[in-house]
Amino acid sequence: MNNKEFLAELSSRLNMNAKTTGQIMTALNEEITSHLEEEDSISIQGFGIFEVKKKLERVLVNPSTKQRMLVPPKMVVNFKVSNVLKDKIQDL
Amino acid sequence: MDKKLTIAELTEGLAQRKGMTKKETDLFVRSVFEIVEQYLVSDRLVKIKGFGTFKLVAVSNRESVNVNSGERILIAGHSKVTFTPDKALADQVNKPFADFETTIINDNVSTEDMERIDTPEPEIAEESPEEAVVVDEIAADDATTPATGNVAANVADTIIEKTAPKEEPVTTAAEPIAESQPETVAEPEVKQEAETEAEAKEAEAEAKVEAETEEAADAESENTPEEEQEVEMPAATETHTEDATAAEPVQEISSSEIPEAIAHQESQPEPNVATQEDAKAIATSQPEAEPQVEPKADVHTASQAEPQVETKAEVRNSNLWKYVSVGIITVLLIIIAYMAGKNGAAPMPESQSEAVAEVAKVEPQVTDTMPAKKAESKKENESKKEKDVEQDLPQLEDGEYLIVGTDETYVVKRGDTMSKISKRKLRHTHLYKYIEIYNGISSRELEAGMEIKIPKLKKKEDKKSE
Repeated sequence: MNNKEFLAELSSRLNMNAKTTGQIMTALNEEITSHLEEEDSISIQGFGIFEVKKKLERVLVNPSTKQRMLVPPKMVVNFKVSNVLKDKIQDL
Repeated sequence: MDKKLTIAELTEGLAQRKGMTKKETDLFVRSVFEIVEQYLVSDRLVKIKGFGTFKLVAVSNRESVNVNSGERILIAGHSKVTFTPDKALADQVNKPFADFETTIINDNVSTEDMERIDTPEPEIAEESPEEAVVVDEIAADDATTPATGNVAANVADTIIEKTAPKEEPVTTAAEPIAESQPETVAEPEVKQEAETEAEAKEAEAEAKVEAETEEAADAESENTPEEEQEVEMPAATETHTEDATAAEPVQEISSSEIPEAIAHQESQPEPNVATQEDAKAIATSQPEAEPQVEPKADVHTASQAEPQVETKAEVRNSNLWKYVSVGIITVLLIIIAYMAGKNGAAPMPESQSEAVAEVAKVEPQVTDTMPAKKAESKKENESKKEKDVEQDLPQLEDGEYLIVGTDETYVVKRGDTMSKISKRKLRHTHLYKYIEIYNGISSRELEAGMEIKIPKLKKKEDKKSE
């Protein structure tokens, strides 16, 4: 399911037109992004938790060339599936 | 920062942004995730622009090993949800580190330092007072860690009580001497440079002591007033004479010095040790640099009891070799070490570190390395023996195997982990516990060059072979 299909489904569910749905969805994305930017975690009940994790810098070795590289630290968004959803999709 | 938000906060923020009611936005957000869930099941992939992609990934069957029993189990195949954040989101979150890039490390650059930042640097052998002060500060900082401080103080108390009567009568006088020494020795007799230096440190030390009294109240409260009051006590003269004769190793000196070390542990202001040693060093016309460095090492042994630091202290002390006044002190140190060990029989680790710290402290003051080393190595031997007796063929209680003896010894190489060694020597990574328990070390303590024993394992009876 791509973004277009997703928005269509969303607008039909909420009885909104596609344009406003798109706008609200963008706003929601901005909202989530701004929270994650501040390293807050967002937990959606029955779905999962979005959280930001800090990955430390590390030395990576290219196995074929044996070249060593220093990978800088970074912040990544991590999604942890809730147990409810995990159980639901377990057998699929 | 680090808040945990729920849907409620999300809808509130969204409502503010779009001027909608909370009810509307709540419905909106919920339906978003409902749709994701629903279409994840049917389409196995949901892509939301600006946010990310949810995907259902199949995990095939795999074999694993029960951590407790070591049995093989089969983990059935299943599906799991993965989320890949959209590039826009990922970039936004990673903004603080966005400027960094992966760089190629040149061949000659060593990355070993990166992992060992926290180990103390012993190579600071400055002679300038400022830097020495810095060292002292570090020392004092370490000493103020309340946990070790208190414990050390308590143990030191008991040691004082027990050593004092057994030693020569001088020891009773030695306690006040120890405390009054730094100030009194430094001020009237020693050359002017030493005076200023010692004074500066003294002031600092006092400040530190005061700060400490607040932190670790009970142990220190007795000692700080003492220190300040007894500064101008007549005991000072005694110490002077003793210092003058410091070159000849008389028993009194060493016996008075031992309580000194203990007294310092008791009161914990490590800077005092420095001043004291400075004063002493000058009195015995020694280079100042060495005693200044040593307090640092001392503190580490006192607070952490790291064997590494000990060896460093030893190395440093070997510089003092020239000034060695060999002999009687050896015997004394061994006695002390032995007594300290005896005293601390109940709280083993503390007392041991205490004893070691004591030894390390006595070292620089007496300016004698060999006996101290001997005493240390003796102590180590003792503790080793104890270990052997205790852990004579230790067993993993709920394990599958019995340890029946040593198969071989193995010298740890760089990059080895317990599981790697276990895989190589015992054929399975999960058997590393046996090595750990057999050698009495944890995998974290593993270091290159270490020699470990590989246990010979025998299956416990009722279970079938692998």
